[in-house]
Amino acid sequence: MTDTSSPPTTSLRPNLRDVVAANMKKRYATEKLFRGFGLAMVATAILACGLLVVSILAQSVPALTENRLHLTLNVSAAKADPIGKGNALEIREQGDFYGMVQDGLVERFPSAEADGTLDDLFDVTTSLAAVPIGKTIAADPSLIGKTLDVALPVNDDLDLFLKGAFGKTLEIKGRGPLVVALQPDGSFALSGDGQAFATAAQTLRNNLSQKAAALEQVLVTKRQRLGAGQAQVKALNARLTAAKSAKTGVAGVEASLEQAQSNVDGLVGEISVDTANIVAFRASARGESGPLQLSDDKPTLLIETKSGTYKVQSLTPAGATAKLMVRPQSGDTQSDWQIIQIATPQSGRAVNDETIAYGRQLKAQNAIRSALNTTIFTNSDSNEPELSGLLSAFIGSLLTLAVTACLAVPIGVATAVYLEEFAPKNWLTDFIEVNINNLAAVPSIVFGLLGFAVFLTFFNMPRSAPIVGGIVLALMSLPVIIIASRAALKAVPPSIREAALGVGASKMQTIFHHVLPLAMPGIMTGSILAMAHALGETAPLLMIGMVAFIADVPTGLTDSATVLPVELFMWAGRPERAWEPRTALAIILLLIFMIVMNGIAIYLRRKFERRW
Amino acid sequence: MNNLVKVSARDINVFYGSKQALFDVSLDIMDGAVTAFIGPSGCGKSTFLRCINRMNDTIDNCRVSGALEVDGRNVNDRSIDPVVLRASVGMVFQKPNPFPKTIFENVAYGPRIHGIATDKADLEKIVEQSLRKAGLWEEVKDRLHQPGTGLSGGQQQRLVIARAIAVNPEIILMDEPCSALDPIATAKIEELIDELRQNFCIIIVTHSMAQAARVSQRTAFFHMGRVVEVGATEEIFTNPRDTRTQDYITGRFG
Repeated sequence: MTDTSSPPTTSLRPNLRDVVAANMKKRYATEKLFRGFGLAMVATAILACGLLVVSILAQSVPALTENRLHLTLNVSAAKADPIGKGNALEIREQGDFYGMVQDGLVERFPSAEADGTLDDLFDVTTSLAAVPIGKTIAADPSLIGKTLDVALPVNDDLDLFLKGAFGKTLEIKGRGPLVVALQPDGSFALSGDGQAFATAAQTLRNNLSQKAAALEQVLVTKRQRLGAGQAQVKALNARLTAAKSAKTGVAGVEASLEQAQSNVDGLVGEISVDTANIVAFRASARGESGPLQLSDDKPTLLIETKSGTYKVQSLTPAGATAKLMVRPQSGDTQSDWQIIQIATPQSGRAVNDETIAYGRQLKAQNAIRSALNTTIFTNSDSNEPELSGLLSAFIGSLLTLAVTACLAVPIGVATAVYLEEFAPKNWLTDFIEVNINNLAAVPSIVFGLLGFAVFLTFFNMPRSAPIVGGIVLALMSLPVIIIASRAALKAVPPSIREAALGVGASKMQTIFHHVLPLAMPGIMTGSILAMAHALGETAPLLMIGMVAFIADVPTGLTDSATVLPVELFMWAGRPERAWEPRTALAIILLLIFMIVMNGIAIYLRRKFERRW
Repeated sequence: MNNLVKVSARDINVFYGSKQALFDVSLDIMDGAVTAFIGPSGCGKSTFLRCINRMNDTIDNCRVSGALEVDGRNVNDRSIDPVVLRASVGMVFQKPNPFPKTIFENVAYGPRIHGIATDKADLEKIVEQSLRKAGLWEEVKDRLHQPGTGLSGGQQQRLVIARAIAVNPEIILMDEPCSALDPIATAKIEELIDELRQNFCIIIVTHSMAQAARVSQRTAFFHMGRVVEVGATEEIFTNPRDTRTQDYITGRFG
C-alpha cells in the first residue's frame, strides 16, 4: 500500500510538475492544430455542399415556373370527331385537336395567314401539347359543340425567352403617337418620338462597338495561331526539300505540310471574315453609312403598339424602316408604343423574331400567363422540354425501390442473423464472409452486367422492367445490408443473450425477442443507407434497358419503366437549352425524394428505439 | 439444512480450446442450503457454475466431460434439452443485466415463454409474487411499466433475481452477484439470499470471503481448476484441512 503522506523522493530528478508543465505547451499545440484541421475540413465540406446546392438551385430557377397559353377552344364535331362514331377511342385517334388550338390562335390573329406568319404563330406551342385536350374530350364527349378553356405549355424556347434567358430585353417607351406610313416596297416607315429612336440607335451602336471589341480580342489570338501555323509551314517546306534530296519520307512530310497549309488557309479565311465584320460593326456603330442596317447577326429591334408589332430593318435617330410582324387590329390608335431590343441576335437562338412577336403580344393580351411548373409532376417524359415531367420516372423509382427493399432487407437481415448467430465457425463460413465483404466493393455496373446476362438473357425476364431493376439493385445492396446488420448484431451486449438464455429462452427466442430488436436501429440505418444508394444508382440500370424513353406511367412490375437518376442522365444529354434548368430541377426533386425517404426512416428508427 | 444431494458432479473436466480450465472436479451440492464457491481469480469457480445449467454450451470452443447430475439426471446427457434444464436452474450474473424492457416484462418474460402463466391475471400474480420474494415489490409497484434499466444497480440485481425466480426454478446460480454493488445493496441481496434459501437451492460464487461466511452453509474452495476442499462453511473458515485453503482464507495469496 502506498503511503500518501510521505514526501516524494525528488532529490535527483527535476520536479515532476516542471517536467509535465514543459511538455504541456506542445501537447496543447498538437491538440489545437488537430482541432483547427478538423474545423477547416468541416468548413470546407459545408462550403462545398452549400456551393453545390446553391448552384443547382440557381440553375433550376427558370424551370420553377412555366408560361402557359390560355385559349378558349370551340370544340366542333368536325374537328373533334370527324368520323362521327362518338366513341372515346375514335375521338382520341382521329380528332384534330392541334387544329383546334391553331383555330384558337388564328382567331386571335386573323391576319396571320395573309401576312405569311402562320407557322411562326403556331410555333408558340407544339402539337404534342394538344394531346391532353383529346383525352379530356374523349373522356367527356358531351363537350363537343361547346367551348373549352385550355392551358397549354408554350414552346420551350419562347418560354425561355419570356423568362429572360436570352439576356435582358430593353424596352424604350415612345411618347406621342407612332406615325406609320406604308412604303411602295411593302415595308413601313415609322417615325414619332425622336428621343426614343435616338436612344434605341445609341444602345444599338454601343452594342455593336462592344461586339467589335470582343471580335478584336478573338482576332489577336487567331493572328498568333496564324503566325505559328506559317512558321510550321516554313519549317515543313525546309524538311521537304531535305527529304527530297535524301529521297526518304517525302510522303509523310508532304501530308503534314498539306495539313498545316490547310490550317493556315482556314485561319486566313476566318481572319478576313472577322476583320470585315469588325469593320462593318464599327462602321454601323459610327453611323457613317447612313441608317443602321439590322440583320440576323445583329440584335433585334421590335416596335410594339397596343396590338401590333414591327421589326426594324434599318434605324436612324429620327425613325425606322420596318417589316410588319403582327398586324395591328382595327381601332389600335398606335399612340401607345415602345421599342424593344433583344440583345441576342436571331441567329443565336432557336426561336425566331416572329414567334417572339406573337408571344409578346399574347402575353400582353394576358393569354400567356406564368404559373408554377406543375407539368414536371404531372407529365412523363417527352421530346418537348415544356411537356416533359418526372411522373413515370418517379413511379418507376418507387416500384424498383419497393422490389429492392422487399428482397434485400429480409434476405440481408436473415443472412446476417444466420452468419452471426447460427453458422458454425469453419472455413466455409469464413469463405462466405470474405466474399460478402468483397461483393460490397464490386462496381455497380458489374451487377448490371449480371442482371443482363442472368435475368434478361437466361431467364428471359422483360427488359426495362422494375422487377429486374429491383432484383439487380437488391443484389447490389445485399452485401451492404448484411455487413451493417452483422455489425449491429455483434454490438448487442452478450449480457443480454446470457440473460435470456439464463431464464431458459431458446436460441431462436433469444435472437428474436432480445437481440434482433436491440440491433434493429443499426440494421435499419444500414438498410436505409443501402436503399438511398440504390435510389441514386444509374449504371446497373442502363445495362438492363431501364434507360428507355418512357412516356407512360408504369402500372406494374413488368411494365417498361425508368428511374429518376436515369431520367436525369437522359435529360442532361439532350441538346435543347430548356433541358438544363429542368435537369437541375429534377436533381432537386431527386434530392428531396431522398431526404423525405431518409426522414421517414429516421423517424421510424427513433420510434423503434423509444420502445425500449 | 437437509442432506439431500441436489447436484452431484463427478470428474468434470472443462477445456477452452486446448486450455484445460477444470481438472476432475467432483463435488456434491446439498439441497436447501447456500453453497459458496470461493477461490482466486481464474480458478474455475464460474466455469463450474456454468456447467450446472450448461451455459458453457454458448461458448464456441468449450468442451465439457464428466458426469454432472441434477436430481440424479446427467445434464450432459444427449436427452437433456438445455432449455428445459435452464428453466429449472436459474442464473444471476455478475453485472445486473435486465432486459431493456419494462420491469413487468422483465419478470414476466420467463413465465411467458415457458407457458407457466395461463392468463393475464395469473401472469400479474406471478410477477407480483416474484417481485415480493425479491424484496423489490414495494419499491417498484407504482412503476411496473417503466424500463427496468432505469433502476439503481442494487434494484436491477434484485429485479434480475425476481426474473430468475419467476420461473420457479429449483436451483439458482449466482455468479458474483454483488461484485458490482455498494455495501448497502450487497447487504440487501445477502438478506434476500438468506430468505430464498428456504425455497431454492442456491449456489453462489464470490470473491468476498466475508460474504461466503455470512450467506453460505457450505463452501467449496477452488484452486487452479481443482476443488481443494468442500465442507460446512464454519468448518472451512475455522478449521481448514488443506494448507492452501488456510493460506487463501488468511489472505496469503489471491
